[in-house]
Amino acid sequence: MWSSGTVALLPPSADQRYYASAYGRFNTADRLASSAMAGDPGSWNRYAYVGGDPVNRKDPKGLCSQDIDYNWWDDDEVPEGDFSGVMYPGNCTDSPVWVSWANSMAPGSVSLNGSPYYPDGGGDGGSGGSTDDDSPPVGTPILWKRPTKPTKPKCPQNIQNFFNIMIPIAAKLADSLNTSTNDILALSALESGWLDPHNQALHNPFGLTHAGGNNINFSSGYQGAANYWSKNDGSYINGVTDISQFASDLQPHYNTVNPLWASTVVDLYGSVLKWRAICGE
Amino acid sequence: MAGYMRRVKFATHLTAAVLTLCLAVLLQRMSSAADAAGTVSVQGTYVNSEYGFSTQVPLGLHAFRLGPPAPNHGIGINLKGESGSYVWINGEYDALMLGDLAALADSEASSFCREYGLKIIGTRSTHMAGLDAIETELQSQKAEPGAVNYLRFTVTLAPRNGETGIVLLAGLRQKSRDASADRVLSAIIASVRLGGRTK
Repeated sequence: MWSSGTVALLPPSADQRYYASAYGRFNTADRLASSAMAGDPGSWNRYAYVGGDPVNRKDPKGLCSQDIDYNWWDDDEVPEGDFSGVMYPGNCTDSPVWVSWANSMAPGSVSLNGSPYYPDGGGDGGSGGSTDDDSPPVGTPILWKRPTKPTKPKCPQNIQNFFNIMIPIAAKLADSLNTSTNDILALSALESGWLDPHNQALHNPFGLTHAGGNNINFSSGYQGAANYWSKNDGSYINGVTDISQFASDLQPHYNTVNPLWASTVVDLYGSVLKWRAICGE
Repeated sequence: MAGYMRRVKFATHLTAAVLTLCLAVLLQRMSSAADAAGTVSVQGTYVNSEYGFSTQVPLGLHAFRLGPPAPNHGIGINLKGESGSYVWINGEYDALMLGDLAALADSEASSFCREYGLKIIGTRSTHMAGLDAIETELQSQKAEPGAVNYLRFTVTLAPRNGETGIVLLAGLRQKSRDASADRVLSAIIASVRLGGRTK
């Protein structure tokens, strides 16, 4: 059901699941099992939000995701009223609508979505009655604070640089190994820190080491590093596209020290999707 | 005669030295071959120049890390005994760009909860490598035989100018609670130092 709070991009769905806003993760799985769709690997991670693409998609009821139109809430479309807000009637395919609350609106009156309104515990079998209180009755399903127009995040320079260098390389690797470009990008983002200056200088996007334990300096460039990675690790993930499977298949050969390594790669997959959307890649 | 004897002695020493050197190289090569196939044993001081930290493996214990070409993130120690205790320290990039210690500790705790079905039973502020750190303790609601039932970790975030920060996390994972393993984790954490990274 609805809960009060400021409408923003993520919170409507956070009503449905526990969401740790500080770091962008849910603590409980998506409750709708059918939200995992065969053709959409991003939907298989049921701890992710909207298939790991929170920039361009939303999931107001926690049941299915839909595209966000960054322009739909232009101010002139917002009706006047003491309170106004957005609600998502019907199922996922319905468009969100603005509703406004007038103080005179009494239980039993018809709200903008056409259904009678009865506050929780009230309604008296549907007959309703007016309220003396100026504030809206508890339980109103349509009382939302007016949202502030969200601004689309900007693409950080280091991530843009990472995509510029790594997308062609990852795409080529993915093609030859029948895996997913984004899986390889997630691995590289973790192992190279989005190609931080240290790994850029070494042309080492996968954190590969030589016998001493230090990262290899690939003087032959990124393609040389990619070939080396493919030769050493390609067979472990050949034909694997699901990111969870990709990470767990690679873990025994990549990081057996950290029990959370595979889980972090999966999280990075979500970040890759998010930043690719933001960076227009 | 004395000169001849000196020359013979010198030649003998030289031969011994060359043989020793050859043996050392051979052992090194055998060791490298073993490393490539699996893990590298670590004793004493462990220095990680990729993520810029060092620590001490407590006396008498063997730690391991993955051999090349696998990335070198840190070391793990499987402790003997029935508790199935495993202690580790891991360095990695803050690639999720959390950038905040509390958020980081929260994130790691949530992941462990998910991974092992544990609940957080306590957190406290502490220090590691001279940096502010957060220690979190997790435990299962009802002990299940063979499963991870207890976990404790300390995490810190080492920021770096203009580069992605480094997450340092040291932890203890157990199937059954054995407080004696805490000493190993404490020794690892107490000896962590930040160091330079290879260029």
